[in-house]
Amino acid sequence: MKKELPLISTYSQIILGGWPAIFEIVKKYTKVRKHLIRSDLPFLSYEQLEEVFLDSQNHFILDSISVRAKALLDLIHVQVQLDALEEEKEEAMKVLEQIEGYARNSGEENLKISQAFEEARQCVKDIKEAQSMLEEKKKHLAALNEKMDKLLASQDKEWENFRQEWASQLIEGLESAGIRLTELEVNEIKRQKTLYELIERMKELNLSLPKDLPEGLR
Amino acid sequence: MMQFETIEKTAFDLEIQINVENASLEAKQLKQVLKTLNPQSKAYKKAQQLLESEQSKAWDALASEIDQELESTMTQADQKISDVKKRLARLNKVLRQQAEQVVERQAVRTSGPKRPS
Repeated sequence: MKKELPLISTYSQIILGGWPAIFEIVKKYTKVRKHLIRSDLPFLSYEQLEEVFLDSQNHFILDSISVRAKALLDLIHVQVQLDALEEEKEEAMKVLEQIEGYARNSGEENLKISQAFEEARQCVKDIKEAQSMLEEKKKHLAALNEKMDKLLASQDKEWENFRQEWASQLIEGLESAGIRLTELEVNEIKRQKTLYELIERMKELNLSLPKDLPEGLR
Repeated sequence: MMQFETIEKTAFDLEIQINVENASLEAKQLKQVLKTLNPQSKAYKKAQQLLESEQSKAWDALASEIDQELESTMTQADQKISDVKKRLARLNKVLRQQAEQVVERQAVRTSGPKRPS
């Protein structure tokens, strides 16, 4: 079955481009189709995303994006709750003012009014507590972006080490099979290649392309 | 003395023979390469899957950390909002009742029995 990348809206492309770590890593793994990259904008083109997403070695980038998207949704949810709390706070303040005004104007001791006054004050206090709790969460979610950046960078490094290790094993294997490699060839094996680059090379050498290759990369 | 044609033919035959030998050598070498690389290729795929799965686990852990952290906070905030809403509704009711009582008292004061002149 051919892998196809679903349509990515412009809005999503802007969001993805707005995450510096994602923007940089996508740029890193889209070396060949540079003519399709708008370097003047923090915007990732569909072609770039296609190239990165459909390369199985970039699975960690996809994971990172999905967790970031989740954190962003949570952040939005927190903000919606904060807005709701702000509305309630305004309402509570209004009630509190009304009670204060009533107590001042009536000039009489009224148990019900003094109880209502205390309760309204407690409402405002509770709302403020909930607001500060959510503000803390907002900060925590923002701090998680840093954690995600670090994880993304460390996993990228892991892949880099993985590639180097296996490239060395491949070189050793070729040499043990009696193939002498030049320095240029050794460097070429060790060099990181993007999926699109490999496809281009296969085309140049008239090799048949993998069957499940997406249309966009053919 | 060999004729030129004979020499040429002999040379040509020899070249073919050398090429065939070389080709056979290359084929042998290629077989050897494939023999060496096949298990490597399988081991590579396995190692790649392992790394991919390990990395995914790290992201899953982070996602569940976000979930757990946020779930309790959101539940608390939701509870607070609904609680405050109820209390404010009750307070508004108290205020309305008090205002009605004031109006009633004022009405009684203004419409009460007139002082005898």
